[in-house]
Amino acid sequence: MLSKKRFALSMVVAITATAMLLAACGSSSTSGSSGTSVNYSGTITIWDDWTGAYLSAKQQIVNNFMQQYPNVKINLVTVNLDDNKLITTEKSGVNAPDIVAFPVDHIGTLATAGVIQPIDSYESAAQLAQTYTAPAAAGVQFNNHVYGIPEVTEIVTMFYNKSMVSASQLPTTTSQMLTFEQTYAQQHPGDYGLVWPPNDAYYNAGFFYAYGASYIDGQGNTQIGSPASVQAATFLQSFNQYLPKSLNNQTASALFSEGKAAATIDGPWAYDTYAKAIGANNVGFAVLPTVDSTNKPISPFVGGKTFMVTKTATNVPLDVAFMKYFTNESNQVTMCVATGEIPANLAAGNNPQITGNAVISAFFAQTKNGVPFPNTPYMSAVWTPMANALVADFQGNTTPAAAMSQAQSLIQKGVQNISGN
Amino acid sequence: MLQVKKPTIALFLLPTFLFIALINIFPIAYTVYISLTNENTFNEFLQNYHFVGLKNFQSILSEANTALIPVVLLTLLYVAICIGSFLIIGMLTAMILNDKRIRGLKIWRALIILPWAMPSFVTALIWKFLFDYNFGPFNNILRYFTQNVNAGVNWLGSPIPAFIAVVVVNLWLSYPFFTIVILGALQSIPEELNDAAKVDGASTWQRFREVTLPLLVPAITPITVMSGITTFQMFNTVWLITAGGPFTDITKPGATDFVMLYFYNYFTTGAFTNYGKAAATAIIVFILLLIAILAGFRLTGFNREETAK
Amino acid sequence: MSEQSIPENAVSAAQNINPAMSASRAVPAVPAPQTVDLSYKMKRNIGLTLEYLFLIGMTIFAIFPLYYVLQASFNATQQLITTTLQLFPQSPTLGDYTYILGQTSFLHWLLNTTLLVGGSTFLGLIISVLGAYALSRFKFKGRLSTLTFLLALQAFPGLLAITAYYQILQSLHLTGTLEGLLLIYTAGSIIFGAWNIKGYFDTLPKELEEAAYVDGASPFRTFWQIMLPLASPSIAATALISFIGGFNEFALANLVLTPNADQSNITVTVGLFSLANNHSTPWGYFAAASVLVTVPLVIIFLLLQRYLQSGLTIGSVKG
Repeated sequence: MLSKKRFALSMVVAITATAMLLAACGSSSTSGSSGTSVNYSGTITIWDDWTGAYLSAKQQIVNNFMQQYPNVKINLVTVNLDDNKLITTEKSGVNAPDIVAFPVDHIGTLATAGVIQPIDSYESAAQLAQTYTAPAAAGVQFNNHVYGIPEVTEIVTMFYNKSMVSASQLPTTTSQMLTFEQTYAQQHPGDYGLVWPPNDAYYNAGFFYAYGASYIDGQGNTQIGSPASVQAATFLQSFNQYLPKSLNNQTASALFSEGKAAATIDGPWAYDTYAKAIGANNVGFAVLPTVDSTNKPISPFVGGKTFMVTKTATNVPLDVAFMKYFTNESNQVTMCVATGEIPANLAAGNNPQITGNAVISAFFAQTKNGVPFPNTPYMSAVWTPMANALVADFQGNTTPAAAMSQAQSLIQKGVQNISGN
Repeated sequence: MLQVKKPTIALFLLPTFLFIALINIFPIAYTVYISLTNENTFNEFLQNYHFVGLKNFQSILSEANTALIPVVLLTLLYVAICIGSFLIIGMLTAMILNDKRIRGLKIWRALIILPWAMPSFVTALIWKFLFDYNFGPFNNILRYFTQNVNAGVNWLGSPIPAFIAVVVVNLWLSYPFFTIVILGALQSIPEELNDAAKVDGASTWQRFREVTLPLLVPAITPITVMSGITTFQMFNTVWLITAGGPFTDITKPGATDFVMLYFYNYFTTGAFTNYGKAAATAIIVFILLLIAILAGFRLTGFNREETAK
Repeated sequence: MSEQSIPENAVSAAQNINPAMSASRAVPAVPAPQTVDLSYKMKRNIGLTLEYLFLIGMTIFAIFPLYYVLQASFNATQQLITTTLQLFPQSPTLGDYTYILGQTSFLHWLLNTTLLVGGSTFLGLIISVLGAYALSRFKFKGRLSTLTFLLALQAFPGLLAITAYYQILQSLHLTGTLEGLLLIYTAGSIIFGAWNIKGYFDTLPKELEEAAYVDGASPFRTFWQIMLPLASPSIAATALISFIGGFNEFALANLVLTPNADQSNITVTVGLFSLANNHSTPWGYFAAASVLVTVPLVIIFLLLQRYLQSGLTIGSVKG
């Protein structure tokens, strides 16, 4: 059953092992006592995209840190997180940040571009593995170096509307998914069973990985054109007879919010909206179904937000100390209870306050079936071809096999564009 | 033409040229330089990029030979249809908004420029929704009147409707711009001229064609050309609505894959992060556009009336 | 073949009628005929009705999408769209507006944007109106090639050269500042301004200035006192176009401006995009902010409206 998952796991182990080796070599020179030599003074500028309730919960941790170390001043700057923007800013050095809180999939690009620095000497891969959940720890490692401290984990899972459907009626396998769509629509004319954006490469990744195809690996190899991938595309295409032709992120989310769809696939960021729209009591969660033919659960990307130290950072030990403080168990528990995010800290994830939280624990449960969000720069070659292929596939404009082989050729060209020259 | 001393002419033109030399010419020169290097997201900061000669141009043109010409023709068709509709709708609206018999002119004018005042990244997505097959108001209204739940145009999912959709959205975004300029230009036509033509027994259409239009041409040529340029380079709005699609084969240009979208889709891996290639793209688009403009001038005899003066 | 014959016909027709028209241009205005027959009046009324119908149609076209923005801005959730055909949101709230006005530095963004774009529009107009006048009226070698050259520059796809603009600002030590953006926005408005206003100057009769020059006025005085006021409709239109163009600019502003801790140093578009994150876009906030920014733009338009009128009459040409 778990050959794919085991493969992914063994990869994680392998990466972790090599990183540990490297870290061991590194730590002998810098000595493990770097923790004690932190100079707790100066200003830390952090780029983030926190707003609203998120911001106030996080600002609280920052304030506590500043209270504990009165000589440290921390500026939180809300920006539109963009690789190019960070690169140009680092180049000019004007208002450059010390820490950036980027989505984890940016690590490969930013590390290759040289704007963030490895922090192996402050946090080894072994330490990471002890402190943070496996996918979170894997996400911050790139090219055998530790490039960040994970903050929160993100994944998509199934939301359902308790007033429209009961947990027992929800599909647990892919064949049930199709029956569910069909019967729900028949029994409730005008409404839909499960809706999700069929045109979105991120939301649909789990299907492809569960069928045994991966989007991209660290060397830029893609399996989008593989038979497994075509099977996934064929499965996705078979939904077009039950689902609205023009389904996309906006309409899927609107349908679920308006009580016209019994279930949807979405991430923790959408919880607030749905809780407001259909009532928090009506929001239920379920782990995504299992693929019949492979017997593997749908395996969405486990991504998240990560703190990274920029090249122009002035006091790296302090920055790392802050990052570790921010993500320690107690801070993570308080923060995640307030924001509904999934903690990256292992102990926080097992804390009763978190396990007792229905929302967080639902996402936490889904992460067990997830695959690490590729943090390779090659991933940027996947998004557009995959999105276009998924639309053509879902709308029935092409055969699944044609859509996937076309996507494959475009992705390969994109990878060449990135690695070439 | 007035005969004025050279230093006076220089004084009038100096500020324009100073600014242009600094802000407009340098980026072009710099882009030419970058187009000859392999600069990208990954080596920009580390500054370890180097000259690659014409490799970027070669790789774009070698891959583009089958698709580039259809894409340019499609884009020119889009420009022609858009500009034609901007001119017609802009002209009609401006002439009516210039009619003193209409009550509440100021309010009508303000209402009609509203589309232009609202940020287009929000309105573009609203338009995408208006054209939505299942839930969009257009199809819903159609279904309501035909009493047929299966009625509806798959606006963004079939090639010609998708093309029409992006024309309509661009018309909506741009006609206020034409209305305002034409409204201004109409002010240079003395009312007496129209009145005199009326006395001569000219019909409305004759008056428009023989009095108004000839006098408007010099004033509306600039926006027509400028808007042609921006439409040729249209990216954001179309990207948000159709992303270049619908596609039957995603390795080939889609029904709304205009020049900039096409380059974005196929040569820069979904993001303009390969600066060398993006720069080469810029130069190629620049040259294509220059050819189109000069051909347009030749066809319309734009510069003829200039020399006649 | 038939396509070719149309312009020829048009030209000959124009030649037949135009002499009469151009002759009438010199003739003082004749009072409208006193005897108006019924059919003429009816025609006029039908014409006016058609005009109103067209205006109503255009207004619906203009406002229909905006209504959805308005609806999203009052919606309790952060959804942009609704799949239910409804006139008003089910539980309308001002939450998005209070968030934008209370929890963000929106008013700062608006002030920055208005000052920045107002400044670049003003500066751009001064520069381009001078150039436009010279290009329309002065006889000098290379006038036509200058015009073509300017247009050619405009054809360059600036979006793809965005890092080049950054380079300029870096060498001028203006990155991260509104002044740097002001410089680039100004340059961005000059070419369009020069062309557009030049086109308008071309339509103005030359008798006015010729008389002034004969009377011994300097080119600057003639320009300033006679031509500039006459060109006000075109200047107002150009101002509006530059202003709105700059107001909505995002790509360059996002690259150049780095927000400070309280985000008080950025523009509206940069500020708005900072509210979105990698998976979710707060459409309610975006919609509310979009509605809010149209308010100053409409006020500016209403203020500019009177300049869209020109006092130009045959009388003034003759006088």
